[in-house]
Amino acid sequence: MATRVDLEALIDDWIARGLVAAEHRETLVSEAAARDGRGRGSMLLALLGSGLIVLAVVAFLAAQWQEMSPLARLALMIVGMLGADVAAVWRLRGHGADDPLGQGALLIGAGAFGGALILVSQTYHLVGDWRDLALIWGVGALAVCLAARSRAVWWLALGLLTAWATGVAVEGTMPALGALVVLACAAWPVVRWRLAAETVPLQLALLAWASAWIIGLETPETLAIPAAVQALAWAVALRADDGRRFWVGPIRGFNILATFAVALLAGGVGGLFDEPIDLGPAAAGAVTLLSGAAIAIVWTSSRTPREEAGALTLLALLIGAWPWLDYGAGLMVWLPPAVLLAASALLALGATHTGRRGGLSMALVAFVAEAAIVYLSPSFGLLASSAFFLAGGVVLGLIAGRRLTLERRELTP
Amino acid sequence: MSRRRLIVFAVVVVVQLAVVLGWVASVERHLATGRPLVLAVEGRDPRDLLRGDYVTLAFPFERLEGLTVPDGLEEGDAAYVVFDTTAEPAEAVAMVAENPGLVPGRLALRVRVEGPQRVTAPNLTRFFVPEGAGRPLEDDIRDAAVTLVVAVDDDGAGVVRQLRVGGTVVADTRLFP
Repeated sequence: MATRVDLEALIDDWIARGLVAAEHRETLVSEAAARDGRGRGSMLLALLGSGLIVLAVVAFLAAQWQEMSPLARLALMIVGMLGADVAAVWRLRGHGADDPLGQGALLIGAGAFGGALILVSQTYHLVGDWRDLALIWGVGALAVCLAARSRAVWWLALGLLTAWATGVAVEGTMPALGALVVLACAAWPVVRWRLAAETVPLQLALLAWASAWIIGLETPETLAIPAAVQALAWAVALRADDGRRFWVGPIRGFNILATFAVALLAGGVGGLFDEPIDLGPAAAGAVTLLSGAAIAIVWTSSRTPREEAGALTLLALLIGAWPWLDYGAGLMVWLPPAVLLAASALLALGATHTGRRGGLSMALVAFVAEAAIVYLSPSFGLLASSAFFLAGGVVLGLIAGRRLTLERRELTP
Repeated sequence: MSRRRLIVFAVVVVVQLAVVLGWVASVERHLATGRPLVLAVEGRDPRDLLRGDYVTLAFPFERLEGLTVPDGLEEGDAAYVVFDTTAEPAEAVAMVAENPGLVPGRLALRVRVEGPQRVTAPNLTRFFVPEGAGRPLEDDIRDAAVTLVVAVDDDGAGVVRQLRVGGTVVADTRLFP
């Protein structure tokens, strides 16, 4: 999927070579962007669905279901990995490198590789270090990303390698240079393929690593290292995006990090990472009102970009909704995650169709929040969570496939 | 996807497969060839985000009662605790800086020095259990009824082979016993 910057550069090249008349430039750009926007909906749904299936795999393994032997589970992981990779090759060869279902299958294959690693360390009770697991998984995902030129798998690789790099930076168990080299490898596809949109998460990753490094600091002089990392991040952004987002990346990176910090804080206060806290209806109502006020402030402030406004709204809604989650029982417990899943799918479809970035951010945050609630909350068993993720992933994949068929029919003359 | 890219992708998948199966093969070999060491266990149960519930295993020998860390060793260094394997569970009888090798009735387990009177055994500190099964196992451990059978290789590295409650094997980690 080409970015708008790539597209404009290509059309300018055609104009310079006399292949296209200059007066058709804007028409071509808007027409191509509209078609690309239609394709993004299917891609987003396919990737969200694949992400849910990867989560289903992790939750299933974590549950250590005794009805299936460890050997059978290992065989399932390996067959799943190979099956997803073969399906990905079949789709990508038949429908092009940007086929959403092919990219989704690649993501599932890379996820199953991680699942196999988790299973082996769990089966033999090899404690090791979660950072080592993240590193091996991340390197494996990065290799898939480079071999198949997959932006979806790049996101997985970046997440894992960032988790590893920040982990070793806090612990001080790895020289800074080593972590930086690995992150630079993750940056390479962004530079090589000139992926403008990926400069923001890349800078966020480097910022997270630099922050972890500061936490692990023993002498203030080494503050120069995070400063150097930011300089490198800006250089990457400059190279990847012809300077258009030179400042946008770092500034939005800080915004997103601040949002994430607020979410973590709220999660901690709301008991997301510990035993659930029963606030009582009055306190839960007060939290909901505060969240409503936060939403109003975010949307009425002219200085908040729509993307951040969308994400912050969802976070505020979740903070408000969290205390109410524990009032459910039985199947009612599953109602909020199911509503969030449906909401993220609808928002993704609506936002990609109309080009509303605030809506798209809301869709992504809803998806992440839903996954976090189901996986982390003690209210949900791991096996049931796995089944929920799997069902959600399959439904999103089917919707993506159906939408893709309709889009292709629409584009066929 | 071009033919060249397809070949590179296939190589990546084969390497991933080799990493997983190679890891399994190396641990299975360790379990099959390592000498058994039976250890008494103490523990409690938290949850790992990726790998699920587990019981944190602690061992009496980690407190180094009656033993001392050899001179010159610092926190993070590797050392060896020598066990008398004629007793069950095995009893820690010495701590040395170098692997003493094969001695009849004795087995050396590689440990990590954590302090002047504290060591830990890498790869033996967590025992993963099905969701919700941690607390009953914790109760068994509190009743001093649990022992761990560890496969120790020539380098002194230990891998969990069996968990026994009251002498009965309740978990065997080998995929091909």
